[in-house]
Amino acid sequence: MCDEKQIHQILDFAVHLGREMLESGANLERVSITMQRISKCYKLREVSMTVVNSVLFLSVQDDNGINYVRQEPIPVYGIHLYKLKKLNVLVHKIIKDKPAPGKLSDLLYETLITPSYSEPVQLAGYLCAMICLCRIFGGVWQDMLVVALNTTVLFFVTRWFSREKLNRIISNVVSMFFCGCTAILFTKWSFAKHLSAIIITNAFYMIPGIQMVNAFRNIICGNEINGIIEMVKVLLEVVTIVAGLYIACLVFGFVPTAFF
Amino acid sequence: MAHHIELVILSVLASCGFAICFQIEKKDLIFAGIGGGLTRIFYLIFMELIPYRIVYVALAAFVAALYAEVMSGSKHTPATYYLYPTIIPLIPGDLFYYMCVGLIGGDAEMFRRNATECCLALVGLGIGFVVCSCFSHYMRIKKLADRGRGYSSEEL
Repeated sequence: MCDEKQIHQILDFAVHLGREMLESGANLERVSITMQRISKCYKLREVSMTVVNSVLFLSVQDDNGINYVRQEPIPVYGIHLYKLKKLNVLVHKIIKDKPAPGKLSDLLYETLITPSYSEPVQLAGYLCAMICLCRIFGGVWQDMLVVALNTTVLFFVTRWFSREKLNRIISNVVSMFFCGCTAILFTKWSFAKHLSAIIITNAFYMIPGIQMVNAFRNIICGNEINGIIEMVKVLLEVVTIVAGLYIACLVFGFVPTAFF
Repeated sequence: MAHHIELVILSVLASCGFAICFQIEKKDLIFAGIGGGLTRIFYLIFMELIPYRIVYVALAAFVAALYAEVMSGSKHTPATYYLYPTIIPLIPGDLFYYMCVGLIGGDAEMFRRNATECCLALVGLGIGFVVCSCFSHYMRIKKLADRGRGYSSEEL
């Protein structure tokens, strides 16, 4: 049986783990099951977890019927699958070995030291993906070159915006405005052949596709509130992306829907 | 046929590219790429056979999720690890984008047509994933039962 201090340590660990999993791309059901398994492995009862928008709540009960609650903000939903894999290994290890609650935080911090690909490698990954998508959308080699140029600029610009913590709406509008201008200019100069292929591919870089799929999955799986909130966020984000393109079209005297 | 082969190869490369962006381990990149290619192959096959978007997307999503489940079972990783790069060929980003272009540009017909298609694709994806997770849950129970032991929710 755990004493009060140990219960606090387990709760701190569980919510921190849940936040890290969500930030690495885990879906809600997986995080919920993991936190319940961790709590139950230390014989805590009445485990209940809720994620509403960007806050995570966890409550448990000890043998005396006293409730303990934790609340943890989730600032960013991202994707880091290697980190998620390591967190999964950690969870299995904890359930198997049941280490002392005081050691849980150290184990988590050790796990969080995860290597990432360097910036040039990530850029190469994006370039490979975007050039292939451009071809899938019907682009030719000239269009692929414009996409590669836009992707390179977007890669550094979005990172800079993110570092400066610029408002997402503004950064989306500015980024897509730039892409729209480049694509229209190269088409006007008769270098690029398929404006729509360039625009859609560059929009694909920015559209949160995985979040969109997860939002719908949450709605179907019974997490309706989260699903709807995520869907609204995705919709807003795409609207800002389109707004950037719309402004670029207006600047160059294009009818935005005409070239699709 | 040549166009379809090209699409499959491009999907493999696109999935590999996204797998790097999603920070998948180097040794697993090839499996992420294979997942993307496999999903595209089944997507093209189902699209030829079935005229309803919701059905062929759901079936392709089922295949993608099944591949992710099988890989996660054999390599002891979360299913999400292989699922995200594998579903890249199914994401209706273009439809969603056209829908918003129609919305902002005031083209009601464009908005209506793409919104319907996009919703059907997303519902199909969701159904495919849910059916696959129910299926793999049942398979795990069966596997444990075949081993002649009971199971607890923790083991699942």
